[in-house]
Amino acid sequence: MRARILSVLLVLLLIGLPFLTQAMDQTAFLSLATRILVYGIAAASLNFVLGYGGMVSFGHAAFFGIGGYVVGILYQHHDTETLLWGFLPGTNQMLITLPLAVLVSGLAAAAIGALSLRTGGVQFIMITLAFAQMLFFLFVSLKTYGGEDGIIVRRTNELPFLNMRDKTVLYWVVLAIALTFFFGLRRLIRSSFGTVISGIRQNERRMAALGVPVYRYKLYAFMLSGTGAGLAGALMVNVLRFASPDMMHWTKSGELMIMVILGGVGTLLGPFLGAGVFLMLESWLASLSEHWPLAMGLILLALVLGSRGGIMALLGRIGGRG
Amino acid sequence: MLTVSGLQAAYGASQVLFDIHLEVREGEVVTLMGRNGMGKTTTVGCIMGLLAARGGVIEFEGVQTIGLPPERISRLGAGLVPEGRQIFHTLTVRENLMATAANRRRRNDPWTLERVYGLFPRLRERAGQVSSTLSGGEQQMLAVGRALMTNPRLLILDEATEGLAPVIRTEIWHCLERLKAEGQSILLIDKNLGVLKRLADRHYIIEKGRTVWVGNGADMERDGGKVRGYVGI
Repeated sequence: MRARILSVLLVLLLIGLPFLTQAMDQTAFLSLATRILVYGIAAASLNFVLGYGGMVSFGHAAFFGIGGYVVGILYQHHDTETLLWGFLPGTNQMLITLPLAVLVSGLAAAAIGALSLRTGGVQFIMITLAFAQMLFFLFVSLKTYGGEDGIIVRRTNELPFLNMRDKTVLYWVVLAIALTFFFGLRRLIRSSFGTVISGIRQNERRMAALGVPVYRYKLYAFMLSGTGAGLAGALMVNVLRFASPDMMHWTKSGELMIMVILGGVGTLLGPFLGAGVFLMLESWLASLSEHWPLAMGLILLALVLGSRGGIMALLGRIGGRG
Repeated sequence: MLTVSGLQAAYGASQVLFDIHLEVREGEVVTLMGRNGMGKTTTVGCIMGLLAARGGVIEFEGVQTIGLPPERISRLGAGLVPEGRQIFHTLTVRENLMATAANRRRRNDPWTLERVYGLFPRLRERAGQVSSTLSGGEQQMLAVGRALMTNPRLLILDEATEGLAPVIRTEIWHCLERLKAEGQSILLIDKNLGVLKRLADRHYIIEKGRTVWVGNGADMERDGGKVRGYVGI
């Protein structure tokens, strides 16, 4: 009951945030909040395979980047009125670009997952990392799409009836997508598919002996996770109006992983909280000193060691006992 | 329903099973007995496809199962209650039961949550509880319930009462009696002679990886000394 009231309050706070930032004259915070929501989606996607499925993917930035590039490439062809592969016209309609980004990143996750899920443990980490780096270098060398510089998207994708150039409208759109994503994910995790995924993490052989084709289940989970990261990437390009190979650099995979661990591995809300703390710390520390990564590292170290189980565990100890 | 003949298996270079024979027919309760380290669990592993057999034949429901992956064998209708229970600790009792529930052979009286709770009322009381907080006996009941929820043609129990309190042990034996009365085929792996003698239609004793004795309860009375020698009581 208490948890329900808290979550309703949190949702109301998120919806009303633009008014708050306006009243407090902190409009820059709104764009930070938008980025937090987007990274939250990406981190929660990673957490689904990492925390629930026990598959430590170190290459999730690949799907994040692919989702982003789908938006970027479609925009570029729309902008220059050229055809992709000689027959596909570009577009700047979000109702087309987002589903396409989800589809393409899902297909990429199916291909990468099909190969890397044949291994496990450290090999799995290394193979997913290798795939992501391969894609990174592929996009660096793609001069058509800006190479290292990436694609500048001058205008955010359009949605019917909405003025997407307005930062507040964009925030609400991202919030609506993030909430839908969150509740969909919650449902997925509580479904029998989700419990089987959790069971596979705990005891793969046992699941097989109970009639579950483990590899196929893991692959489906990996694909779903890839689509989530792709969705986040597509949104990120809309928010930053910029798609670049850096989106799939291995450090981005690392950041996503840090967000998951910081927030709480295998928890629903954790990745969103982790993304929030990570990005707020980053923007605050960066404004203080150019040597901010050092301080960031120390703070993260203290938080992870001190909380044992991330922010969610910390909150649980503060709130749960009382 | 299940026929094992001439089964051989090894862990790396060391051969463990040399010549295992056993058969379970429709509706029978059959036991597999033997001292520790004689190959009981290895035999079960081979039947379930969790271990690769090195030779011999295993036929389950008319299918040669050696070389098939465990999920295929499970889907043919083998339900294992593993040694050491191995429930999914972070899931609730209800989730443990429901996650892998299936009725693949379209039985018209399939196992449901209600029926499992009827068999083990304690599980109903604990339905929403995370299963790591259950007692050992309750975890064992959960493991049995989880296997039943896959509607197995053959239920295999590996050391189902190992390390449990006598009261709980009795409860589990009673449950097996009820299952037998309903016509469930069961393969029991155990060391507990007394109760098994009453329950089972046939016994197999293995020693050092070979089936060395087969018989029913009456045969066991007659061969008493020999049997006790094999089982080590």
